[in-house]
Amino acid sequence: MPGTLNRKAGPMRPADRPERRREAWAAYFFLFPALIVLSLFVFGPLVFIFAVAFFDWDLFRDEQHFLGAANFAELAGDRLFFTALRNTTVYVLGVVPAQTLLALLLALAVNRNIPARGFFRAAFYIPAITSSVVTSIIFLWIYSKPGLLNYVLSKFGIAGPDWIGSPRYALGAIMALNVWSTSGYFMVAFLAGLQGIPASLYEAARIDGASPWARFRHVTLPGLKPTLFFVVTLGVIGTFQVFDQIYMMSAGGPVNATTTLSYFIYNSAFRYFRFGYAAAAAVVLFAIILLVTRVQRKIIRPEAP
Amino acid sequence: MSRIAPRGTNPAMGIVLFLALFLFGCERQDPGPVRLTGWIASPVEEHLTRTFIDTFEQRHPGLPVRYEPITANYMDKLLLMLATGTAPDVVMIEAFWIPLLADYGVLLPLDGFLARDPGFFPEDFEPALLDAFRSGGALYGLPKDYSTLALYFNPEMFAEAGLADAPKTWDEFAEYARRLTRDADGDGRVDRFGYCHAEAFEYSLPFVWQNRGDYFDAQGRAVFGDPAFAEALGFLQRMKAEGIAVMPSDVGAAWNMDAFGRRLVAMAVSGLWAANFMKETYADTPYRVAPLPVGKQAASVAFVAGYAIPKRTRNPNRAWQLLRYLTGREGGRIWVKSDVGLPARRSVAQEAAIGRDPVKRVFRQSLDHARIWQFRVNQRVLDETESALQAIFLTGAAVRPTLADLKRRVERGGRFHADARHLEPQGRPDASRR
Repeated sequence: MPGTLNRKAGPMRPADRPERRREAWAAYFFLFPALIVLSLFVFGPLVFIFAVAFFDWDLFRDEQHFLGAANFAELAGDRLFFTALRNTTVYVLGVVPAQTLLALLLALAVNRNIPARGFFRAAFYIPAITSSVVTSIIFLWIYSKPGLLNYVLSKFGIAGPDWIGSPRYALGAIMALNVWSTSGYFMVAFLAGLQGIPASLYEAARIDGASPWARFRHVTLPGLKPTLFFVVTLGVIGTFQVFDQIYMMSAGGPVNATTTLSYFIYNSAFRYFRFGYAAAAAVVLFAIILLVTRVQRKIIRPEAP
Repeated sequence: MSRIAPRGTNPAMGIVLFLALFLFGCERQDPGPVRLTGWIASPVEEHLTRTFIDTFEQRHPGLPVRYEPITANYMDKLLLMLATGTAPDVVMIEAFWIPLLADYGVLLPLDGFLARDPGFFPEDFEPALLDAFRSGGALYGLPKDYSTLALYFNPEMFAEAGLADAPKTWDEFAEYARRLTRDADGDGRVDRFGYCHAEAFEYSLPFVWQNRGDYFDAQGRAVFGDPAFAEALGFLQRMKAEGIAVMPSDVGAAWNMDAFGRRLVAMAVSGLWAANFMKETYADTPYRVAPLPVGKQAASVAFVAGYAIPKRTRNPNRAWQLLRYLTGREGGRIWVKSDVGLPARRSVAQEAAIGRDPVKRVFRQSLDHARIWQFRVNQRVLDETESALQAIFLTGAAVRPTLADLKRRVERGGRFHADARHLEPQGRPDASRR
């Protein structure tokens, strides 16, 4: 960390400047390939989306037609868009609290000195690093009419439905899969947060006679605030953008019960070939995520003690 | 650091120079192999395609072929490739897409090649199949094979129910389904159903056409609000409500022929490709094939697959050599072994004795009253339609209000009705189109 070294050494001497310039050049040299790739495939498209959203963008045409806000006006009257928005909202509201709570509980459990702690940590984390295509296909089998879930339910005399084939249950079933597959990842984040809380605070609380709940409420939770903000923010962004499980398991159906905003955007662009319209929907999704994250920042206030 | 970036040297310039040299070196001078793409319907078809390419290369030593199959989301990928000029020289295409791609102006008209190639014999194709690749008077592709829809039925189950042959009318169809629905294992619950109806729209459409209904007319107007459309769906919905018909998901099947192969249902509608599926997956399940039961008139739907050449190909003449072989008589003789589709050429069908094959001849005969699976509408209209059908068949939604709602959804602003450009006067695409 050259900056740190310089600060320690006091004000920069004139002789340091050419050296710093050379270091900067070297840094840019190493950054260049990554910057090219990121600019081409991430930053460029991100900015470009905001322009495309105002056009009737057609890849088969040389000139593109400027539409002004017409794509947004059309979105405002598109019932499928609002169905997707509603499904996405339900998805976020269902998955984020559940995955956060489950991740916290798992982290609290494996943070204790229990037997086979390493095994449990690995077992909970494996779904997070397993390909979502693989987990989706496994859960398709579990959720099918003659699948594992209905077999278990049948032992209790319950005849389960075709979970993914039913408009009533499909979204909930995919939400449950998502909670299962992401909780392990966030568990690791909470685990790191828990281990960053000084043991002396717990000791002091214990000496003051604080109950386990009081220690959790007044020591653990405040200590986990930055982690909680991180987990909820990533959770919100990830769930707003849910696509792979929907694509693999239900293709937005049945009866659009699992059509989410990301899936709507994908279809509008690559199936219906309306890139401007898809870009407009993507801008709306961006605005929603930005707004929700800002509100969430106000509520959680990660930097507050 | 100074060893990596010596003073006075600009590393960015070096990178630019390297990229320029690299890209310059990438410029291809020779025409290279003819690139071919297609979807993979079955391992048999994949194997035959490879055999086909080997045979073609032996006969055409100067024309190597590079096969680049697209394993999933074929049209999503092909559309992008066509739009960006990166599509292979010869592309497999379903006739469904011809009107749309012709309007997009991305396919090469083939009329000139045919006029200069007297040995190709285009008149040998089934006329309806060749016409499926025409749009605005030009020919944009050539058919390879096709299949209509017909009724698969289980003769053992029919015999158990005292039925000798397939139903010939809608009334018989419903009555037979009723008699075939039963509790086969005696546990007090119905476990075998008369008919399994596939969710996809193309499986309901023959019933609509048989009822003299339609989906979109020649002018691109939605006509599924007409009573004939609703009556046909109502007929199928009543069979389901009565418990004599099921959807694949009702019985835990992946698709309707999966249910049929597992003996969960006695009848299912499918194409010739299902015969291949039955042979590979459910060889022990007996089946016969009959024309679809007739409503007010006989009707089926025909799916036609063929090949086309993208307009921006670098090697149109070399691509034509491959295309004419793929869709010529010799190519047809190879495809006919696949059992995935029927040959588009009448001479090949005759050689293969399709008329004497108890299964294939039914699909061939159904072509006489079939309409091609082809609409000039945006895919979203079809997706919205499938959603409406799911509501009708999965949730029991009332047919007429659901169709009225569908009409409102797809006609809103004329936007999804068909792409706006298709509704321009004379139906001509933009002049700026490539």
